[in-house]
Amino acid sequence: MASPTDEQLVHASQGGDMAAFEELVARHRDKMFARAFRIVRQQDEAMDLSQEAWIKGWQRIAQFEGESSFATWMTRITINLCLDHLRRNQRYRVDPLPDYQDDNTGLDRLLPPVWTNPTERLERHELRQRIDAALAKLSDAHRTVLVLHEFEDLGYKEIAQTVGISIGTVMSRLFYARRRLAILLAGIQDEEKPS
Amino acid sequence: MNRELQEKIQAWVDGELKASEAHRIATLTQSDPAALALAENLRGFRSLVRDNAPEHSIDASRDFYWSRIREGIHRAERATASPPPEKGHASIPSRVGGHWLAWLVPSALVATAAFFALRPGSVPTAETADPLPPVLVDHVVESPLAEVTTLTFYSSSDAMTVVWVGSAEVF
Repeated sequence: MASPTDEQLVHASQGGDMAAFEELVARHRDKMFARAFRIVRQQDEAMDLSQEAWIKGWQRIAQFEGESSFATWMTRITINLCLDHLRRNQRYRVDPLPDYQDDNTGLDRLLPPVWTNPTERLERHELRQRIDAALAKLSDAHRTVLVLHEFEDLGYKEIAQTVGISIGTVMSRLFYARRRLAILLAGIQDEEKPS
Repeated sequence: MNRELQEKIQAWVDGELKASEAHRIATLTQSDPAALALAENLRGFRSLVRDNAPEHSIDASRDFYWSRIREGIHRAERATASPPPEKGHASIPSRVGGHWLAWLVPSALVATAAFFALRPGSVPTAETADPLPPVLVDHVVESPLAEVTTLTFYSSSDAMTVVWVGSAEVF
């Protein structure tokens, strides 16, 4: 017997079936946790926030009308909770932009090209770890914009609305975050480039 | 290349520019090697990050993770169903372990009021009635129990004391 689809589980949850909702949680819990972790970068906080998101999801399940997938809907709840959390804890500060305003030269320095061999699983795994470690070094404000754009695939306008900043600020934070991340990852180029 | 142009090229790579502006940047990248290099660099970098998104998963078991969510849901539902009572009021019945006290106190109040109001020879006339302490005149006397509220009213012209007893929601 085929397992029920998300839509069927959502429908059952809307009728008060908590077992159906538990199944939805089991299916998507890692995704929601990963999304929370990418933004807050703390294991315990990400755990708490993702669970809080599921509680809100249950409370609002009747309002879900299926305009997007259930996972997308839950992602939005999770992200909003994480952003509220950062604001509450005054972690939403922006680093100054050192040497950025006058940096009109050296495109290699601006965004160092990164060579990678995607066929090598180990290398890819390590690359992911390096990207993860580099993301952790960005400020919350820059990382949030980058994460929302690259991993959640939100456009500039959506990011601006979600975070509560102007589109111009989205553009400059995104550019700075990419540049900073590229600089942090630059070591990979030297290590992995074929000799 | 100034910052504004760099960000425009980025927006072009991200597909965020309107058609007319996108055309302008596309033309620029054909004639300006620096603009083209930046655009290619941004494209490559974006693919690199998107294709290698870090993965994170929960260490906790399914049961443990779900149990905290279930608790949270039930806690929220309880809080919605009955708002938490004020300290020191509704905690009394729970301390004694029964609801009988919730009825005993208002019943005692009614009985006391009835005793004084209906005692032979004790019904005061308008002339003889002693003024009641201000606390009983047209004043809500709260029961120490959150579930029950009593309202006591004394009319000096009718020489009558009236006590309403009801649930807190009525008042």
